Amino acid sequence: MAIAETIKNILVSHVYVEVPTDQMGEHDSLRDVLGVDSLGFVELRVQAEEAFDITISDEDFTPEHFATIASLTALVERRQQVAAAAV
Amino acid sequence: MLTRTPAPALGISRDDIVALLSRTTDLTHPEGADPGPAFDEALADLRRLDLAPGTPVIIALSNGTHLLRHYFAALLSGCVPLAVSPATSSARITALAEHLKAGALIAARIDPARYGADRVRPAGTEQAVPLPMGGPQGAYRPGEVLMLTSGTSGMFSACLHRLDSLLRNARRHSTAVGVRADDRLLISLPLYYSYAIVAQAMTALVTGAHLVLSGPPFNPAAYRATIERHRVTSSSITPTIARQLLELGTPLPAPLRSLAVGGDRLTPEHVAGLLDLNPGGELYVTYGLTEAGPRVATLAAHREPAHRHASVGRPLDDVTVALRDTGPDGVGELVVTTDTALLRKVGPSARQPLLAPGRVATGDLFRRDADGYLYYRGRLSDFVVVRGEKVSLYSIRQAAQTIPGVARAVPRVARDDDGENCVDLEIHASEPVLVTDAMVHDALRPLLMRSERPRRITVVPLAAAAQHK
Repeated sequence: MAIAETIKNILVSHVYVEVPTDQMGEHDSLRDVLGVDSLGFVELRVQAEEAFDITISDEDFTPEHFATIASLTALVERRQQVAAAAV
Repeated sequence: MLTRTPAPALGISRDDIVALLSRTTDLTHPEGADPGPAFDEALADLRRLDLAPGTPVIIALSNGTHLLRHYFAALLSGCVPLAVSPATSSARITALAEHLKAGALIAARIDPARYGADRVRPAGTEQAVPLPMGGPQGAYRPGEVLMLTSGTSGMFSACLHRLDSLLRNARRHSTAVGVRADDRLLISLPLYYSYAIVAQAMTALVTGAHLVLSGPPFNPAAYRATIERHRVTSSSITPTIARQLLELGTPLPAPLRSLAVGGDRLTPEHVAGLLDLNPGGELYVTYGLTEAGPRVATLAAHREPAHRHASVGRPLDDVTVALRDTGPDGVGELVVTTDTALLRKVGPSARQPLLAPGRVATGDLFRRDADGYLYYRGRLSDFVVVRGEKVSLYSIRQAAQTIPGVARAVPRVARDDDGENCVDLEIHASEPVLVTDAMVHDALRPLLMRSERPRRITVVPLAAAAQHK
């Protein structure tokens, strides 16, 4: 499953966002449009680490990286590349 | 700092709000909108909803100038603002509307069908929808404000305040912590917290200070960068954030003159650590509660000897305190007398804090020393702080006992693997075949906020539970 689709499913299943996945835009603000709050971001980080088998450091846990599904997708891709290079 | 021609009985004018928005740096919406036209548009859209004066408007928005626009537009249009978390589910907003008689919802994106509507209305750059389930409009009076106390008193409970008394509380707070017109206040706490909207946003309104608005997720490194980049001189944080900054251990950047910490207990060791992080700076330990408007007491820790670092200081000007039902150890429930107290509690509430007009029973236990310094000793009231958020056990019971087949719900405070508070829930089921932990989990999901959700749910047949009494 594509990274963005997995993130959308996490948002519904674990962060309890009410917007259906087919109505989520990849550039919608997680905070403003999808209503993710501070504890929701913590859950999103944990679930993304588990789903993609990556580590999201405190330095990467920023409003910029967690701004949209697209920006989080880009972060996940970078972390996967780093993990792959380390193998 | 306010203009000389406020709206009657409100204490603020349209120009005051536009001036505040003009001196606000919104990091969550850096593109920004021209404050005057954007505010006028929000005000005009709200008036087009044709709500009766005194009708609550639920504002479910993340931090940003858009939230402040709608909050003050609601007040200037004669409505009663009620700010809630943008993560609040439609089921919970519907129930809030019923209990608190709200007439409309403003949010970033609304599915109108969830509220029985066929379309959304414009609300500036956001959306609005009427809430007919709120019943007859105009339950309150223009100039009044609702603030949720779901974390301390029950999921649909709120305090009714007057804006002018909140502005008075903001003035007292600004005196206690020395906020000046040339300060730049960073708001990183949610604006739906009474502290953030009164002690920060309204403080900027009455003092002329500049605001810098940020939003989650909180990151210590980004927090430091924001202070440096936006020349922040004053910031307020929770003990949870304070602990993160202490773990990082890096001194706070020079522009920061004043740091305030409140919302939960701060240990003397943390106070000492924060003083070390901001050498030469000011550190204020604050105590308050929404019912009191909200600010009550302050410790200027940088001016106090170490033996007072466990204290929340002394009351603000014109606020008096007393202890009642004091035990032999000198510990009693703190009672606050202030003209910024709530008018009354609305919605189903676990407790009624107003003993008399202007007199609030806090539910918090304190000891007071000979110099009048207050030392927190515990709580009478039924709530716990979970990862920085106040969680009412009454709210959890209230929600669980709406589930068919649940006879009784018993929330218990526990510790998770990280040593943080969490809540486990024991369900006494009158219909044990129907009621399972998964079913309870699913039923609670739309009713409870994330911080309120139990870590573990255990279902016990009612008969078995009764045998254990």
